[in-house]
Amino acid sequence: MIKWFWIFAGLFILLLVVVSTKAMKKNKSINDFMLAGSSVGAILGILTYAAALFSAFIFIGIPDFFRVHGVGAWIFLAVADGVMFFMMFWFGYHLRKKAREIGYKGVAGMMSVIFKTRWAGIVVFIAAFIFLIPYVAIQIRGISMFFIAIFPNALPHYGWAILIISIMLLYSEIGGLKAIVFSDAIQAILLLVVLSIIGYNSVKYFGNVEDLFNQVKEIDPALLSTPGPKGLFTTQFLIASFIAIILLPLSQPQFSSRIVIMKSMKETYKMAAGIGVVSVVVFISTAFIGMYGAARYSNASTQEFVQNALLFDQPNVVAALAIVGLFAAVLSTSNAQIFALGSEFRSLLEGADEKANFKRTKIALFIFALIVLVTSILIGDELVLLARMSFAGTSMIVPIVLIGVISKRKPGMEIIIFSAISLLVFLLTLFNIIPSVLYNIRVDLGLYILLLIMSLVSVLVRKTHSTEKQSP
Amino acid sequence: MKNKKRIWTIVRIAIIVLSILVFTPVVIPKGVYTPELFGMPYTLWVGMVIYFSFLILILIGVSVHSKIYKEEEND
Repeated sequence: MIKWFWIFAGLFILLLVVVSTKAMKKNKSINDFMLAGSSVGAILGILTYAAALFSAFIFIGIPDFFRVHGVGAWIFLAVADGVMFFMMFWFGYHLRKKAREIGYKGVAGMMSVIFKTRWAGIVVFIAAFIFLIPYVAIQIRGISMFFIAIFPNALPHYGWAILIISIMLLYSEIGGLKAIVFSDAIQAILLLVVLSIIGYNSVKYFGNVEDLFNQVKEIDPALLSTPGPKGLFTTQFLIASFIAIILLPLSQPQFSSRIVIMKSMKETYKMAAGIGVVSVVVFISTAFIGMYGAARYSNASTQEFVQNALLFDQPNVVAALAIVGLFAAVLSTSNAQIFALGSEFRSLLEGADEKANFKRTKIALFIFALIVLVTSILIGDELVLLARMSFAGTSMIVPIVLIGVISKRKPGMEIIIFSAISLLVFLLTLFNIIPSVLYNIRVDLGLYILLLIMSLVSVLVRKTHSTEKQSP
Repeated sequence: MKNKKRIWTIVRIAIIVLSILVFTPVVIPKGVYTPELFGMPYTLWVGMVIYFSFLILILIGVSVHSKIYKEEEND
C-alpha cells in the first residue's frame, strides 16, 4: 500500500505544481487571481462546486453518519442537496444579474453596496468567519488524526495540520482561485472514483444489496428507519438541517463565488444540472459504505471504522488512492473556504488602491490559515454535527443576502438587525447560554420561522410605503 | 412563452410540495422500514425516488428557466 501511496501522492503533488504554475501564468490581473477571471466552464464548474461541497465531511463524516444513525442520513443529505442544486441556478440567476449591475468582489462587499451601509457586509463577514473557521479546522483535525493512525511515527497531529495548511497556502497564494479550481477538479475526480469503488466493494462483500441490509437488520433494525437508534433524525432536526443545507449557495461565500465565476448563465445551468447527476454516485456510495460499517463495525469508533472500511478492507491500490483522495479533499475544501473568507475580506476594504487592498487580502489569507491551524489543534471530533452547525450558523444571514439580491428597492436596516440578532441567539445556544430547544421547538428552526416572517413583513411594508409615495 | 412560464410555475410548486412531503410519515414513518425495494428499507428507497424526482425537476427547470430569462450577457 505504501508503495502505491507514494506513487499517487507524487502524482498528486506534481499535478498541483503544474496547475498552480499554469494558473499563475494565466493570471493577468487581480480579478483573475481572486475570481479566476470569471471564465469557468460547466465541467470545471461541476467539479469545483463538488469539491467545495463534498469534503472530508462526505468522505468520512457521512458514511459514519449512516453507520451510527441509519438511513435517515439520506434525507439529511441527499434530499436537502437535491433542493440546494435547484436553489443554485434559481438564486444564481439573480446573483449573477446583480453582480453585472453593481460589480462583485465578494458577497459581503456586495451587500454593503446594496444596503448602503457597511453593517450589512460586516454581519455577512462575521457569520462566515465564525462558522467557517471551525468547519475547516475540524476537517484538518479529522484528516490529521487519520494520518497519525496510518503513519504513527511520521508526524504529530499539529505537524500534519501544518503540512496541509502550508501546501494549501503555497498553491493558493501562487495561483489564486484558478489554481484552487483546477486542484478542486483533481480532488473531485479522485473522490468520485474512490467512493464508487469502495461503495461497490461494500455491497460486494455481502453479495448484494439485499444481503447487506439483511445483515444491518440483524445488528440493529432501528438503523433502517427514522429517527434512528439514537433518535437524532427527528422531524424538527431534519427540517432545520434541510433549511440550512438548501440555503448554502446564499449563505456560504465559497458557493456564491463559484456561481459568480462561471463564464455565463448557460454554464451555470449546466453546472446545477450536472452536479445533481454526479452527486447520485456520491450519495449512493456513502450510504452503502455506511451500511457496510453498520453491519461489520457497529461498535467501533469513527476512526476504527474509517480506517477499516476505507483502507484495510480495500485492495492496496484503492486504499492508497483513498489516502491521497482524503488528503486532496481536505486540501481543496479548506482552501475554498479560507480563500472565500479572503475574498469577503477584500470586498469590504475601502479605498481605490487595488494593489494595497490585494496585499492586505493576501496577509489576511495567511492570518485566517493560522487561526484555522490553532483551532484545529483545540477543536472536538464531531465532524458532521460541526458541519451542520456551520451550515445553520451561516444561514442566519440569508435574509440579508436573499433580499439584497432579489429586491428591486433598497432593503431596510431592520433586515440586518434581524439577522444579526438571530446569529447572536444561535451562537448563545451553542454555548448553552440559551437552551437549544424552547417550548419543544428547536431554536434554529424557530429562528428560521421568525426570520421568514420578519423579512416578509419588512418587504411588504417597504413595498406599500414606496407605492404610497409614488401615488399622487 | 406562456407555456414555458406555466411549466416553470409547476416545477416550483412541485419542488415545494415534494419538500413538504419529505417530512411527513409518507417518507419518514417512525420506526417503519417496510415495504422494502430490492432489499432497501422504505425511507431509503423512497428518499431515492424523491431525489431523482428533484433531479428531473431541476433538468426541466433549467431548460425552461434558461429560455424565459435570457441573460443579457454573451452566452
